[in-house]
Amino acid sequence: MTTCIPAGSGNLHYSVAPCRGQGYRKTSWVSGVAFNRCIQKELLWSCGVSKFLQTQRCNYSKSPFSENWKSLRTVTSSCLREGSTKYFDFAVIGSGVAGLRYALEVAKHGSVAVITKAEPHESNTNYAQGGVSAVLCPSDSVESHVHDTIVAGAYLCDEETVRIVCTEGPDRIRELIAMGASFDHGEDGNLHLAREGGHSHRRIVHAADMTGREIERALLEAVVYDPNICVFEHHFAIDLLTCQDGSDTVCLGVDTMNTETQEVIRFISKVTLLASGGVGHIYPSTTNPPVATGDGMAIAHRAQAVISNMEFVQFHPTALADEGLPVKPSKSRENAFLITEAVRGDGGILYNLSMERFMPLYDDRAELAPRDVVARSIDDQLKKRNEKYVLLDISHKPRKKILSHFPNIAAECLQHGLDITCQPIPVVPAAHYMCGGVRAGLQGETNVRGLYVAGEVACTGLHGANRLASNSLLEALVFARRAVQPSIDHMKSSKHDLGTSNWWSRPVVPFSLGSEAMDKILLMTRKVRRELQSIMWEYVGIVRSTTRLQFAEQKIGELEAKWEEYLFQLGWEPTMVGLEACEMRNLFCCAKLVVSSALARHESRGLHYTIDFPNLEESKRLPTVIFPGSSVKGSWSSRQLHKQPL
Amino acid sequence: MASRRLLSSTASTLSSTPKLVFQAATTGPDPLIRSVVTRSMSSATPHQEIPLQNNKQESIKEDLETKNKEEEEEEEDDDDAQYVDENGNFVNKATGEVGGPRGPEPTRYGDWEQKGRCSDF
Repeated sequence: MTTCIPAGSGNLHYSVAPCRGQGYRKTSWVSGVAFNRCIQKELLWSCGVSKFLQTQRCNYSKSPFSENWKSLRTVTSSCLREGSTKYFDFAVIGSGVAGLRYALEVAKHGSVAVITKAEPHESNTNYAQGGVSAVLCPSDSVESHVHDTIVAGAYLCDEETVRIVCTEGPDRIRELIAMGASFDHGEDGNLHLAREGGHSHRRIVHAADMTGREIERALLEAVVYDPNICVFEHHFAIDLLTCQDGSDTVCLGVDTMNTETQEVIRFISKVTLLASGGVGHIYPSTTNPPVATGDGMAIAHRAQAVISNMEFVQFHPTALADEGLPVKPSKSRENAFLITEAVRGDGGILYNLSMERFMPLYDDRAELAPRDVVARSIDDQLKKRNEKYVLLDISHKPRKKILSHFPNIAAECLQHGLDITCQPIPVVPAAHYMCGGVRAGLQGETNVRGLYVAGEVACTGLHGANRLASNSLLEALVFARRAVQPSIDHMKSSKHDLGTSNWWSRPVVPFSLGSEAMDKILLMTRKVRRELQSIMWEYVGIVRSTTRLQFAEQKIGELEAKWEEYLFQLGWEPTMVGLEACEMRNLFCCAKLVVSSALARHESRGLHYTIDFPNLEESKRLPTVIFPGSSVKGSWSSRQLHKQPL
Repeated sequence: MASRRLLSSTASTLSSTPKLVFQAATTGPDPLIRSVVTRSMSSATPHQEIPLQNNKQESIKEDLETKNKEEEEEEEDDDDAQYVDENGNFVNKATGEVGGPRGPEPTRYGDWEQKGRCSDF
């Protein structure tokens, strides 16, 4: 029979079995199809392999790290390679807080490739500008942080995970400080801790309102100067390289495309950490930067990893709606401008486009209702009235107060012809954070051996059905750290075989199609992306229903088929890759995961609200789990580009 | 039209964050005492986007600039006492925070706001 490299212990806390005592729910598409098997290969456990490890240090020219992020040196690697294959001990996909934190730790034990699809600082981390939550005040307690997290998560959190994260958080913050991250202090010299909504104690560590940016800066600086870490920017992850070992799927690396040189680069790694962040761009309005297209969730799903809780998408109710501005921005905003709750807190009123105040119809607290209620109310109004935005009016307040408290809003609106001191602000909900993702054990392990996850791409059980403010950076830090030891153990028991890189066919850059066909494909892909986002917003928004979700499922399937056919008719082949096409397939994959998950939850809990099951159901207080599907039939988005090893 | 309780939380549904904030000790006046302005329902004049006149834009710009200068000198009635220390760091007297944001507490309504823009929640 066939076996792959037995890659060491790779202990999992669970298999396809009840997870951590909480039970689990299978969705109806559990695969009954046996996975393809690898051909038996004689594997060379040559002790010469260790020599390869030693030569995997990368040469690069150090350049001073500058404030404006531009001076990161181009990495030229003298790492062992065959053609366009590179061998590393650890491959990290994503350069946000989770990826970089992990890289810095494992780099003490082996060679690390950090693979990032744009510039290293382009990540959701960089836009997380509130703070990190941790118990750092003597009068605070882990118990309190645990409680707040579980309450916010609508009791869907995994309690053990929550306890671990809240317990280990403070040490992770201290380490960040030791690495050079600079957080605000009080006059007494202690860290200044703020108190965000949902927290019953002051526990938010922050850096002059730019916490994510500051953490990213500190970590990037350390990464740049670490001789064992090579950063590959503008390398887009295409698919994980996997094979079967008995009933286990094993991850042996990742195919990428250098989007600057249009070259496919194959990374063979003993351990892979997926830290690729969020998926905001399945929706038309999102706070996420353009890189957040759910690549990690999609490539993990294609690699047979288990996905969980994708129905829990966090929206912010009031992002500035460009459609409502008198002078539209000349190009579409890359990430949404969120209007603070303080506007409502200070007396701002919400109106629909007929100038009817609608919040009292939904909740006695009107505009002061909890954020989730406001988001649902706005969504309901928009869908019922088939409109694009609602209005938030603060103009009845004194002009001086408005300009004093909200100068950012005033200035931004002013630039587009709107005076908020006498006109209402157009607002629409924006997708912000994905609570679900690749299912992770307590050490960031997945059901794919050698594959670990951390950060927003992971579903660790911390957030449950709704994320508590400032817990996302914390989760990333804690899990990135926890994945380190199992990764090292796994790495030590793995060996590279030079032949491995030939096990899978290589993705192909479609030069042969010609520029005319490529232009058409690009145009169509952009159009299809907008259509997908529109379907998601219309039918898989904040207020859901079974009918709308089923409709979305159908429409998305049709759209995907139509798009793929268009591509294939122009000569596109299944192993071809391009940035926009690969992002599109990942967006389709994630959109389908969200819809399926939403259909599977027959209750409303936290961020998932459906009018067909509007109440909490205790018996349904379980995570939604999606197992890998059959790869026999499926769209282009659902299959790894290479065949399984023959 | 939607029934009164269409989307309000049921008793067992957990309310999310702002409710907790309203019970918290904030550094400003009690938000519960704030008056909620109810605007009379207009006779359904639909919303129109009215572009700003140039001179109006100018006057708003001036106001914003003046506001920025005044912020450092003036004490708003619901802002914390703030000053600049000998090292040039901005100090918030009520919270003891050094080098932090000026103006009202960013988390006073639950989210993290910077001059009106929400950056975290």
